[in-house]
Amino acid sequence: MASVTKTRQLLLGNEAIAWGAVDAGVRVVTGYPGTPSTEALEYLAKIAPEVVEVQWATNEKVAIDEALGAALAGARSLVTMKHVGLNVAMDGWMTSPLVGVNAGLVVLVADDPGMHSSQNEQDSRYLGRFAGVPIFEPSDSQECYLFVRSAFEASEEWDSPVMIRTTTRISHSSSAVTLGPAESPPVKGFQRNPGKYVMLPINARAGRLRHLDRLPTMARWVESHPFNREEMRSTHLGVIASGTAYQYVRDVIPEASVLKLGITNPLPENMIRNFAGKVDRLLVVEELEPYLEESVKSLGITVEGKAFFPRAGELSSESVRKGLQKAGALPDSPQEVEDSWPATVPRPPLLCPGCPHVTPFLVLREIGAYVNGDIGCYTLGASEPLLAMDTCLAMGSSIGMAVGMAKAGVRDKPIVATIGDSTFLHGGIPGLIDAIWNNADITVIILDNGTTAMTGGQPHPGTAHNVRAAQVPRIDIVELCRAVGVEPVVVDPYDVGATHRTILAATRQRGVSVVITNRPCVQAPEKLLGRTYQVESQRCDGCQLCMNIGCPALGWDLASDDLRRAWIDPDQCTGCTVCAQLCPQSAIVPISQS
Amino acid sequence: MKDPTQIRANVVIAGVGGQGVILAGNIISDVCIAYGLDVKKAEVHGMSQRGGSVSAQIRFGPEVHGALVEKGRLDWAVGFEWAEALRWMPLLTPKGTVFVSTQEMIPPIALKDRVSGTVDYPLEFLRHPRVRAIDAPLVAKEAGNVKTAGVVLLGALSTELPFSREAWAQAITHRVPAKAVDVNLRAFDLGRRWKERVTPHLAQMPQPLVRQVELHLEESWCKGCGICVNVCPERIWMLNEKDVVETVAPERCTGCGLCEKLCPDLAIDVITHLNSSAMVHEGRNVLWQPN
Repeated sequence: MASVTKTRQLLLGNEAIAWGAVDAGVRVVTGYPGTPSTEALEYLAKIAPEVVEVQWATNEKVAIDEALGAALAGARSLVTMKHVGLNVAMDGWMTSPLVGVNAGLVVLVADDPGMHSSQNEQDSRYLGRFAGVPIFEPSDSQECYLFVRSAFEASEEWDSPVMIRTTTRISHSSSAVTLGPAESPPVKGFQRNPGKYVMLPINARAGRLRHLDRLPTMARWVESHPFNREEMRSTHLGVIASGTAYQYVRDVIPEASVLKLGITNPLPENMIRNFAGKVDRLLVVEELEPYLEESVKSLGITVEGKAFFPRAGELSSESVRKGLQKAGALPDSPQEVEDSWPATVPRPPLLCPGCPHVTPFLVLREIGAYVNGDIGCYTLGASEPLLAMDTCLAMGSSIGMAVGMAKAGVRDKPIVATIGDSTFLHGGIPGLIDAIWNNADITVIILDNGTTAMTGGQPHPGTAHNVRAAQVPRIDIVELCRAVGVEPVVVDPYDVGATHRTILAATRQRGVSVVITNRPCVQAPEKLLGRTYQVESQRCDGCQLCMNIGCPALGWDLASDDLRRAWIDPDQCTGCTVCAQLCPQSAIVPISQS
Repeated sequence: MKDPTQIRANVVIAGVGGQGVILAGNIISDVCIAYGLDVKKAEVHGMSQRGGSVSAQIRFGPEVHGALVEKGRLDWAVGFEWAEALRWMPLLTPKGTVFVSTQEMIPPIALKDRVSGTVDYPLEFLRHPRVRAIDAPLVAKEAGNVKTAGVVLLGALSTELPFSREAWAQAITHRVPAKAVDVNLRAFDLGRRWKERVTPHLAQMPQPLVRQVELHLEESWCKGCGICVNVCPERIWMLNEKDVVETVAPERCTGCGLCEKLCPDLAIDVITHLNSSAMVHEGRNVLWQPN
């Protein structure tokens, strides 16, 4: 347990959320890793006292079910997920406000405007309003801390889950935070109440009415809530903003009056009407969808927003300034900048040196298979130089999409699904069962690197430890495949020949075949290093076959003065030997041998 | 120098995943907090950390709102990898200063233009009057660990900010592992003497020779066995409807000659020129290679 400092300290938004939950006396914390939400649970596992149960769940649906179960049992609970995770959890999410909570239930949903690390940029506020739960939108780390604490109270007050909605720029920005005194409400225990907790239609109808009944009182509560704040300055322009958009507005047009909304469901309609009446012109500045703008318009108030500010991507001070200039609220001010800088090299993300995902994709490109990818590091198999992925949709979708392709009658090339171990356990298992049941001619390659690599190496049910590094039972993926009726072939992806033979043989089988690659991630849980390799430069003829791996450790030997020769950075080489196996000249050898 | 409790500035640290960019951003932020300043730091996590660009934007002052630096308002950029700093130059104020490490981490994608072989690293950037290029890994080695190169650059940056050496030392001590405190403080202090270590003239980068390749195919000799299609590392061959090979992307040919060597019908010639004049190797008719 880290030392508790109650002084002003620098905290990431996600870290402040973790502190807010710990200081609110949270007892059960669960979630599924996903950028930009991951650090909240990870950091909480470090700072929370032992009495707090912190665990990664197999997926977001399971996580929200667990948290609701804990809340009904009287323990304050927190769930963390990224925006697309809420889609997975929707089933439980939509019914949870009808069931209600016994102790506070707070759901962190981190949106990713600009898709820094996501497959879409949906605005989760609609899903909060859809479920009819309060939405809190903090705009810096201090608010993250305060809002989470307050969200637990609101959850208990309204007998409803509460959504904390952040964006990448809130979750992944740091600012100074002063923590408050911690509280530890007792765990109330479970009291049977089947009429409220068992969602039989007859009970659900009552639950629905209870839910609708509290909405008007909730709407009154929000009118006087301190998280919604009117900041009156010049009355020429009034801006309604929440989250990070508020900060940009304050930077760019400090003289404007602002209605800062910390709670964006329900909306304080009277406050909005009052504010609109005090200013000559009203604008909404918000990231992603015109969520607030539509709501304000529905009150019959004249307001503008998305006509000036982009709907796609992340906002910035720059885009807010441009929008305000477009709206005529700010004068055009040509900034003095030098534009004569040379262009720099692109640097897209890459698979690491020694990444065990490389060989399967080399083989798949060689075979020419139609490859349905999935969500994880290995989605990079789609980019240069591997170029071996044809589709990628959502967590666990690879297998279902492959089944669909097979059922559509594609026969000219093998149909393959590639899926990581964590993604397989998260959402791939039902797809595999379906493929077997419906007898689809597909090959499923489970890229088992023993961790949730993309988000930084979180444990999952296939690892033998949990988030607190305690030993736990391990789900054996090989046995799991056998149990659903397919005998998987396990292959070492560092053996290029064997991987090629295995995958080729699997794609020639009828029905479902499963190949499991079994090398651990080179980064997590620990950095793996083997004997490093080098290029014997007189033997290299510069054919660049090795560079088809896209290994960051491979480059050009800038010291060679005639033909270009490949070169291996000894500080980056992990000794996976894949390039050495590919080299037609056998020019890549272990360092000590030459 | 300005009053450290009233200074208002924007700094960007740019580098590649694993270089300690986030750590450096935390150190600067801690120093600001120690002076009672408001600070906002934006950083990049997730997919970009897989060998991609990593950056931390730090904004500080008596009151700071947004975490992102606006165009034309960046006061200092620090590049742990110099070409990464270049990415932020459009944001720099006309008075802004740039500290960069002369270290280069050439991304594999920059090697993609394999035929010309020129890695297009814009070296002229390092000669720009507002760019201070420091051989940070060398200084870091002198401090005792090459991994402290980032802290060397922080030391250089610290000479332009009004915060005391002690405040920096305290932040570093708080942020790095206990056993690495001494080496980091040495690196920081060496960095503060950056004026002695600015690289005066860049060593001339060896310019790789331009290799040009001509491909010749004797179509009437090809029987469509497909060996070249399978062996080509660049996948430039494919069989057409007449079962004869043709090139689909001749510009990707690197001149390795694998197809020529393995073609059972001697149908392929690969002719390679260096600098478009010096001929090193000419197809199957050449029995020896000039030195």
